[in-house]
Amino acid sequence: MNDLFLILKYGFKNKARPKKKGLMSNNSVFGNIFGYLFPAILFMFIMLPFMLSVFNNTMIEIMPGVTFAELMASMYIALMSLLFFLQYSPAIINTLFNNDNIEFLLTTPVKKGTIFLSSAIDSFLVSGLPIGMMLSVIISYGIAADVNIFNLIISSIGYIFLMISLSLIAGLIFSYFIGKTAAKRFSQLMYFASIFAFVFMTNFIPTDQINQAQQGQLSGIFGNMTFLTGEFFPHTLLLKSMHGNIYFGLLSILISVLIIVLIYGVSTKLDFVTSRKKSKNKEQKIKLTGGMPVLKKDLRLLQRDSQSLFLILYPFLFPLIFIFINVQSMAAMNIMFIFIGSMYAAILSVGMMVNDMKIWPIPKTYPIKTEQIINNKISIPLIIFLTEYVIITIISAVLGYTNIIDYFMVIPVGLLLYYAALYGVKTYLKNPQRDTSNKNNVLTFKETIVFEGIIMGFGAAIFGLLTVYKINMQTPFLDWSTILINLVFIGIPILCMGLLIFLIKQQKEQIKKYSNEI
Amino acid sequence: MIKAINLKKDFGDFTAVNSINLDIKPGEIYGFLGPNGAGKTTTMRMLTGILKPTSGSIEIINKNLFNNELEIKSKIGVVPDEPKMYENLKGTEYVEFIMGIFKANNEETKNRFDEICEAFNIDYLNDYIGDYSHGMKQKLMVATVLMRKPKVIFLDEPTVGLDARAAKILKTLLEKYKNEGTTIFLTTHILEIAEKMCDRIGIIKDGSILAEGNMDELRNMSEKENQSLEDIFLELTGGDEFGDIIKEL
Repeated sequence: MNDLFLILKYGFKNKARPKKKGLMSNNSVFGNIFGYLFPAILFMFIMLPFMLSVFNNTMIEIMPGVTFAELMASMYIALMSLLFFLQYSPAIINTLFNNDNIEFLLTTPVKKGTIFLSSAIDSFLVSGLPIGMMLSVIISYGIAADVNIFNLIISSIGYIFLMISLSLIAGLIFSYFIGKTAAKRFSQLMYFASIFAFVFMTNFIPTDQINQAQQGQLSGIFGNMTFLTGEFFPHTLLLKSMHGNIYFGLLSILISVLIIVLIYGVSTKLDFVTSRKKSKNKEQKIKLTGGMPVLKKDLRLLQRDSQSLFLILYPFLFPLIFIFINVQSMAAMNIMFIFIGSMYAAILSVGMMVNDMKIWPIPKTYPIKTEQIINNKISIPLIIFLTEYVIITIISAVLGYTNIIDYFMVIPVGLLLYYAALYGVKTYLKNPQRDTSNKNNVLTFKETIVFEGIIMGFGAAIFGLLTVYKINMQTPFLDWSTILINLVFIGIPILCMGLLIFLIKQQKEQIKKYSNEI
Repeated sequence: MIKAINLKKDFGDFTAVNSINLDIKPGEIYGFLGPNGAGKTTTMRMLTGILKPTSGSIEIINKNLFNNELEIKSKIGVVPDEPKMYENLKGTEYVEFIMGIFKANNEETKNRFDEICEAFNIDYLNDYIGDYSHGMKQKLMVATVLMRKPKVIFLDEPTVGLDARAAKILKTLLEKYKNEGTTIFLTTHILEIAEKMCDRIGIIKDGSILAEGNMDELRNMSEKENQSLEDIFLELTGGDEFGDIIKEL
């Protein structure tokens, strides 16, 4: 146990250099654990009231003995369990084989089982998102179904432990025949799939109270899904346990403990060090290609990083899902795109900087200016996200959701994205010794809050006011003079854009200063 | 070819390199030796434009380094102490990138690279760099520098990680390049390499050069006769008291 704690403690310390001391500082074990679990906890608390309202409104029988809420809870829990299982088990392999310290740890008198368990805990912290989502479903369903709180806690703990231990078995088995690269890509794919699945699900289900007519419709649509409430599924046993049959919860905990003990023993026989795979194709073709080698290299590295692909696709697909499901206003698209897109533009620019900083100072020996290396990290995210925004606007225009003001929005969107990419690069250069293993967490909590505050402020001032102006253009409701309306609803956004340009200049100066120090 | 005048580098209160003067001629192999933390890598980083000196000036190929940085960087080759490369690129893509960035994407460079690959047994370029061992990366790094035939080559511990065959080929190639007029600045901890290959040697400790010259000149500086470079190095850098420590151990 002591060995396990030591490996975890120094593993976390090794991920980032501290800036401040203290229990919740970047480098404390608790601070690190909280930092990694934060997205899962955040998702859980955001989804909890929403899911509660959904279950409260759907606590109605659609088949004999099966409520729509129960069917939905079964669907969600099954899906999230599957995504957790598919993400967590390859993540263990990835953490195990991508661990820089593994060769060192194998030379120490620490049992292989302890090393495996430390890898499992480390992986769990970055795979917790589906668990966070699953917990929001379990807790909200439990409250809506008015189950006993003790049953709810024991059943949830039992179920999560069971999922973890089943994933551990799979991780152990997979480690014999899955390569680290495949494991990493598969795990990340599942992480993103869980986010997409959840966003899709939360928009697909009805949130209003179901009436008698809908009850009949739902029976028709979901009637053939009731197999999901079959007794042989662990999630069904979880729901039954919550409703009073507590033995499942206790049995799950017992089985999980047994599995972990068993795995601890079996993992001592694992061979942790993988050999290098060699390409079968011996012919090495060097192409004498033309210019822009830095841009080509940056795009290649971007394309090969599955986390970056998610960052690029998500701000684009998320508003599209909304367009086709229930939100049909360009103002909502703008706000959604700006919040997600600007955050991801900043993260993407950091991710691209990391590629060069990993091999620093070697790029300084190239006959190019440091600004050229940095500029690509700003312009590529800007161009990608701005193009996405233009495509979303075109789709909205085709569907008839835009008016003339929406086309001008491309200017402030471009400015905000530019600011975001600059913010990412500047923040990274200010402290390059940060943990960048999980690109979704490259910015600290404080940096994220400051950044989102700025983006939200500008977003509300520019898009909020322009949207009101747009609505007033279509159906006048403001009893103000035209001059006053223009002054407030056009003047303030223009002023904000001016301020944004000033901040952009400031960021550029700071980047110049920090880039001279690297 | 490489000229440094009163080169100094401070990191806060700590002076890593203090008033170093160098004058290395074309077609010369200069060995730069010193114990760990003596200031070798810092000096090399300043000479290659990675670090800006606190004071002093540097001339490479008769031009001020910091006024002609990009031009000089395109004419020199640097093999750093650690062969760090973009791990998500394949070897072939890395070579194409280097050829593009140094504007060396021509048939002559490509043919030279193919020959170097054959000599070094580099047959793994279709794989991702992240899957290479240290030695494989080092060979690729050396090959991408040598393929360009730069006028000045800086090598920081170039034989670390290389197998015996590759190390021998590298030494032979460096001799050949030297004879063709290339200036080579080399740091190494393997004193036999420095003794056999270098025309002149500089020994640095605590940021200052303690001695400089060819082997005969260095021997003349020493109190004892017919000393090897190892003996001279230990005498100068104070490492010859290790006998007492070993006895204690």
